[in-house]
Amino acid sequence: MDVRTALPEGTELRLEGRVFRIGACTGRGASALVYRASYEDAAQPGLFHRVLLKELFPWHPQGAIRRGASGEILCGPEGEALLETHRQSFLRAARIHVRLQAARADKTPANLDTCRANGTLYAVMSDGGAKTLADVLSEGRVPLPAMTAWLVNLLYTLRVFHEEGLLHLDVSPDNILLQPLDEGKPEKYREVLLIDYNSAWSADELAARRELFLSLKEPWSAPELQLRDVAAVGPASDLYSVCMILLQYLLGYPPVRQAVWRKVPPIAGSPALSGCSAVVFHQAASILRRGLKASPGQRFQSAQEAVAAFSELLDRLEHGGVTHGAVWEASAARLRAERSRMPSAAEWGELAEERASLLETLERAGNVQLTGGSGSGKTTLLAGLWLRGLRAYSPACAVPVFLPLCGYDGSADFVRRSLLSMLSPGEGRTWEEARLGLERLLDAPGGGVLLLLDGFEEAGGDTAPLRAELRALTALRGVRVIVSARRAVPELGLPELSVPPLSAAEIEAYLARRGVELPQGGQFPELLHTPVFLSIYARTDKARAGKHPESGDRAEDEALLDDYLDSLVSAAGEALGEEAAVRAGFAVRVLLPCFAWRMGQRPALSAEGAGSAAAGLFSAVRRGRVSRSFPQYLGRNRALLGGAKDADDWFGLMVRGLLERRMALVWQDGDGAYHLFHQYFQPILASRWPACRKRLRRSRLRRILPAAAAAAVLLAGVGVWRAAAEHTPSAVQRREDTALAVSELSFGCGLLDLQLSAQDRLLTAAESLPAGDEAAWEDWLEQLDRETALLDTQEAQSEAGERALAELSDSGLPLDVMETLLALPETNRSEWALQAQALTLCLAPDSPYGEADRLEALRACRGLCDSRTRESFLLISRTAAGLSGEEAEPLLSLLAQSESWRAYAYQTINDSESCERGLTACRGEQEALWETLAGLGLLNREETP
Amino acid sequence: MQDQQFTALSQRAWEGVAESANRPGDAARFFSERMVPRSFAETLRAFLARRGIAESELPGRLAAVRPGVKRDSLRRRVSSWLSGGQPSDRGELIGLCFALGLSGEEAENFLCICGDGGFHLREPREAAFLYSLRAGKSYEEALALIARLPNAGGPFPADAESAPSAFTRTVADRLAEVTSDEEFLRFYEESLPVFGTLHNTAFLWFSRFFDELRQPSAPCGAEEDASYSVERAVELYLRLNVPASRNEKSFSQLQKAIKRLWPNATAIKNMLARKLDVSRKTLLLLYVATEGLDDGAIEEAMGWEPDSPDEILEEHVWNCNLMLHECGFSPLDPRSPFDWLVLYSLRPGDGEDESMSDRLSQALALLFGDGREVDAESGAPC
Repeated sequence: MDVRTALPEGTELRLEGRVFRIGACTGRGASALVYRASYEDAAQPGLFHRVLLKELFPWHPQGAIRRGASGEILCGPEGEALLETHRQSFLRAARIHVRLQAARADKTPANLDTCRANGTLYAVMSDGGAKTLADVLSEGRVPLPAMTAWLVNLLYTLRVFHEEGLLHLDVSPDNILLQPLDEGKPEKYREVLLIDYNSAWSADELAARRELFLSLKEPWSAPELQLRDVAAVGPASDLYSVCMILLQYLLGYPPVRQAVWRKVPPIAGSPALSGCSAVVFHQAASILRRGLKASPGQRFQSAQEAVAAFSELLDRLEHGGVTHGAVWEASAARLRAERSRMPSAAEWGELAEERASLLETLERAGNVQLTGGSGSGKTTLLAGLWLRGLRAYSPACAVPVFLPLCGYDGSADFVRRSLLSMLSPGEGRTWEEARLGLERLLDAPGGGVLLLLDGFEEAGGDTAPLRAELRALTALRGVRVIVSARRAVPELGLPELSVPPLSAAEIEAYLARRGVELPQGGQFPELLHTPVFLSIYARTDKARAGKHPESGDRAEDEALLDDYLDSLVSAAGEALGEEAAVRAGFAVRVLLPCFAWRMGQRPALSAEGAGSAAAGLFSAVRRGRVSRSFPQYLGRNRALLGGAKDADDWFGLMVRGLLERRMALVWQDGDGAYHLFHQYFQPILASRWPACRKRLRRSRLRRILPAAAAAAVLLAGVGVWRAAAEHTPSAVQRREDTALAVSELSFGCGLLDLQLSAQDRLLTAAESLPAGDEAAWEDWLEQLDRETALLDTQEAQSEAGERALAELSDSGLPLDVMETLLALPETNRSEWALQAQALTLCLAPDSPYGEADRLEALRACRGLCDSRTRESFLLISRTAAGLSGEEAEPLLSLLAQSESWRAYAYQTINDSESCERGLTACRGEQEALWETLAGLGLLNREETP
Repeated sequence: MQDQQFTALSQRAWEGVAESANRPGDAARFFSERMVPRSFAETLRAFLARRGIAESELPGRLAAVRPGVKRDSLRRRVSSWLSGGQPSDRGELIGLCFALGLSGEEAENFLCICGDGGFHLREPREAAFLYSLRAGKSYEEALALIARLPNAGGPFPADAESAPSAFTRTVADRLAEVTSDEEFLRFYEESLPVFGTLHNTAFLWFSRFFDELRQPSAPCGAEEDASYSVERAVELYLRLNVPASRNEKSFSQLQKAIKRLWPNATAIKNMLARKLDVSRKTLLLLYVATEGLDDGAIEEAMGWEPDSPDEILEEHVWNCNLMLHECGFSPLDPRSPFDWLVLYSLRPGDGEDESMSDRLSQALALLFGDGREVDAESGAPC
């Protein structure tokens, strides 16, 4: 028991002629007591300086060293040796302190003087208001990031110690001072200092001695100190103590040595680590594993090494930096996000298990392209690899990163930028450093990154840069690539691995696990060997028994899909009631096909596109057209509307509530675009929309005809529509008509944007074509075919647009402008075909056209493209100017987000005159450019527009 | 660290561990042909030289320690020690510490080398001897001090063996502060509740290891859902091809040194029942049998690069020495035949995945030639 008596508060202690007023005793060590104290300024009475006083007063077990009545330190003969040992140690500590202060004052609390008084020694030190780590930890929970930041700074302080050739050898929480920090400043800026240099020795002193005065403190003293193996004492001894402080913090109590017995200490249940990622756990465990080795030679050998390891832990906690662990964390975060979004994600784990052996093959396969038709389970397999690779973190294993290629933007570093976009450089580091860090990581042997690139065909535009990047990536030591594609892409230069159909055993196991009856007779129809159908088959209500699909043609696909959709509708009805079932039926039979049709060849429909489609159908429902078109909805208008007040309300009800959440038939990606539950069904669903649309239009005619009172007028065309519109004067209806027309126009403009972007890409590629280069020419032709094929699949929808405009004949809107705009995608498509033909003639390697002609032709086509862009912008602006802000919103939003009209983002054309002038100029320049092409002999004059 | 610590002979023994890494045959050959075990004579001569005492002076110095023993007898005894003999008991070793005039620290060192471990300070007589050596007292004065201690020979409180503070290191910390006879007597009175004859820290380690063997579900056991009897556990893990026969006439000195006090089931039962102190040899054998309570599964699960065989050996040596230090036993000595075999088994073969027990067992099979067919190269039983 410590029976040492401290000096009473208020005691006046004279040291070297200066009077110190003793305050509270704030620390008790084995050799000294520490007090707060103050003294008066020599020149300004009443001004007091605050200091700390350290009094040499060693603890003697039998109390042989004690305080006398006048405050002096008394020592019996049995305590003399002990007192002398501590006296020498005290003086050594002061010498070391002053030496360190001279070297690095910022890392050393100021030691002002050492004085003799009261039969003992006093060290006068500055009082910066710091607290010991022991005190701070005893006050309550310290967050792990703060603790890690402190330990990093402690290591920097230790580095100064070691650089001075000194070892502290008594690093423990009560000898660590945390300096005050400005409020709001991050903890990483808090200075952390070491005090009590009584056990500090230089390397020379260690080498010369066999016996040392050492402060042995369990559990912080390193094994070599416990074994008094002087030869083994070194910087690693101090670093052991730092790691032990981390362990103590993580456990919440001081550990016994057995806890670190050649194993990771039991930190799995650490409250400080709860909620942290696997990488954080791994990094903390790795630090402890290395830092707490019994063998000093296997621990961190320098403070700098330890700083790197602790800084990585801090980075992982703050999600900064570009390291293997950082990529793992980012990929895991993306996986979590995707799993909560994508409906198929629920089955990833199970399907991955079903096909474990295939996944294992893929894991061992090296760089590979995974091929298989739509629905063959490529995405699920990649997702399975993603899931398996992220189950646990290991620096020796490649981090799987899943990247859908539908987001490919034509850039030459798409994959690298995608990886970087998941990461953060960390505080104080630049993106350039992050980029370099990524390059180092990708070329480092060992764990590395497994790139799971999904859907090569969905990468729009020119994929040559992507292919080049993949070739470069596969040459790096830390990268493995698996690309999924419907058909083999020889240009990738990767070996092909086809997804085999599911085996009978796999199907049986899958169905058995879900308690689903096997098809009658035990024979599996061909269709079920495809994962997407098996999944749907299993999910479809078992009541469908006996209606198993029997072969693999499209009609059976549809039958199975219908079964599935019906089962979802009835499940929604059971859960939400009969009215919800009506809405669910409409959502899957009308709204979903509309979405699918609008997607065209793209894998997703933008949020605006989805909103516009739903708004059109909402209008149709409200106006009773749906119930007139579809007998099953007669009298069910109220149920279909579901209480929705406006189109937004209805969108929430039908799309978010039913299609997305309840039935998981669509899902929204990070950009807000809507995807179908499986791309396989897009063509099937899309093919159902034209019929729906037709019925809706017929119902519109039926509504208009009685009002016009003349059936024959129907055949008279647009005029009829205008006449009919006169009979629908309500402002509400006009708004709805306008919304419908704008929606159709927006769709057309979106298509035009696609066309112009594709033209731009093709022209850019053509402009850099080396003359006579066969391979480059083939690539360009391939790009031309692909882009043109993609655009040809889009229906310009002008008929619907024309009818929509007809409704607005008396609205005062610039209908001529709008009609021109509506027709523009089709016009542009045919004109581009002519330009492409001209380019093909003059750019071919064996073309008779010379370089000058080639350049002129290219300039003409570029001019036409630019002029068309300008023209369409003017038309859109003019249209928007005639609409109210709300009505024009889809068009303005399209302008803001488009590729083509980005350059005009800050221009506004409000008056019809300047618009007309601009349009006239466009037409003039287009005529001249066509003339140029004809003049070169690339087109017949009669062909030109 | 090992390079700096050891003499040339010890260094050769260390190298022998690495050289024999892959083949028990090599281990047995090194052991039989090149191993130079540390002898008591060698240690005694080293301490005599350090203290500047001639060999001829030792009988006279011993006479002061053992006044009742005839000079001739003492001369013969010293002569026997210097030509290969051993002191018969620990008391004789402690007497020698006084005869050699060793300091407390030197005496600790001497006992560690010659007698398994330093002073067992929970045993009052040993605590008194150490204090006396530190205080520069003679053997006679030490005995006089012991005579002043009531009940120094026990029996001690029954619960002393399990009291929370009844650990040698705790007692050692308190004894370190004692500087006078009065203080020692006070220390003795204060420490009475925790005195005992058995090593408590060693027992804790022993229990930990042996529990692991008896409930072999994890991490070291080979079978699941079984709890072995003491006999079965000893047979499975501790027998290790050492002959059970008591007839040691045909054994070499090395074989005798290895086999001496090899724990059998009865000894283990007595240790479990706290009737017999846990021996250093038993503790080391249990360390080997349990792989130091580490099966490497965590390294695998965490994806850490495995350590090299040399690193694994070094870490095991540090851990073993820490364990032995905590228990008051001497550290591993590569020139002790038994310790050398332990060191050999602690180092995994390059690229081999065999247990420490297997390595020890194969080497012992070759050394004792138990009649089984053994592959001379690999040492694996056919």
